[in-house]
Formats: sequence, structure tokens, C-alpha cells
Amino acid sequence: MARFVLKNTLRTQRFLHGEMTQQDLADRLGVSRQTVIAIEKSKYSPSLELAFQIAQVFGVSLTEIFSYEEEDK
Amino acid sequence: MKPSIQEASILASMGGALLGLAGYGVYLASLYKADQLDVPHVGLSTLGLMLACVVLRHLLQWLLHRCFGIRQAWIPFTPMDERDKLIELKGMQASYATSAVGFVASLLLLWSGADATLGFGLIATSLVAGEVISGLVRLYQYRSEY
Repeated sequence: MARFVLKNTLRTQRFLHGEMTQQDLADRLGVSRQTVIAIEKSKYSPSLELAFQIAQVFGVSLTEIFSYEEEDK
Repeated sequence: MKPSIQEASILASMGGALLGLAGYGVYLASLYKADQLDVPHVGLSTLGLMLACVVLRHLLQWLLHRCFGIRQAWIPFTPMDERDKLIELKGMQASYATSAVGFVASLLLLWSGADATLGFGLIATSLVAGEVISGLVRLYQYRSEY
């Protein structure tokens, strides 16, 4: 059975927003930098509320940042 | 490798618990040798153990923060965001499981006719061991970038 993971474009979004640092993003979200790193590496799936906050920071829709895809082999 | 504020807090907590437990073990052994392993002595030493763990934890936290240049030297770490809280929960699960095993083991000891002070000591030890195991679980979670 295929295994699905929550992938994201956080790195790209940060780049598109003037190379926003992980610390800047963490400060704007009110979380630690480690949490941003974990989300970016798809090691941690954020809550729905945090996911919406991330989308709000970048001014895009949720689906432009997060996608539920089959895990790479 | 510089620990994060979360990791420094966990290390301090584990170090405090281990040092406190070591002191407790030495004290109980000395009581046993002197044939003074009775309820008042064990009660007082357990209270001492708990206080020692708290004091040692704060001292170690201060030391770690000073050594690694982490801010908020005297403020104990409290979970900051949802990931911290989730990791804290996993640690608590491990801690409760360890304490429960210690508690059941002490009841079995009492049932088998062992001295009450031994059972009490085992409960106190399992509580501190729970803190150490909880710390290990949380450190693993943070280090594996969960």
C-alpha cells in the first residue's frame, strides 16, 4: 500500500519572499526555529491552524504550500 | 554541538535527577549499613531527594545556559509551541509508564513480605527514573527533528 506524506514548498516560499530566514518565519508564526526546520523537512506535520498561519504569512492558499503526496521511493 | 533551549532544559532535568538519585542511593546505603533504614529516615531522605533534584536541575540549567550562551538563564523552559507540547506529551507517557512499573513492582515487593521502606524507596526511585527516561525520549524526539 502506498504511503502518503505531507510535502511542502516552504523553502521556495521563503526564497520568493526575499530569502526570509527560518528565524524570521518562526517569529512571525510564534513557534521555535526548530519547528520551522522540522516542518520544512516534512518531519513534522503542523496543525491545521499553524498551516493556515503559514499560508497567511506568505499570502498564498494552503494548497500552494502543502500537498499530500505519495512518499518518494 | 550547541543544545537548543529545549535540549538544555532536558539535559539539566536529567542531570539533576541522576545526581539526586545517586546521592539518594548513597544515603540509603549508608542508612542500611548503620541499620537505620527505618520509615522516618527514608521519608526525610526522599523529601531531600526531591528538593535536591529541583535545586540541581536549576543549577545545571544555569550552568548549561552560561556555557552555551543560551538566553533566559534562570527561567525554566516551558513548551513554546505545538511541537514542543507534543514532544512533552511523549515524554510524559514514558515517565508515567516507568513510574507505574516501579509502583507495581513495589506493591509486589510488599506482597512478597519485603520491608515497607524498600517499597517506598523503589517508588521514589521509579519517579526519578521516569524523569530520566522521559528526558531521553524527548531528547531523541528533538534530535531526530520530529
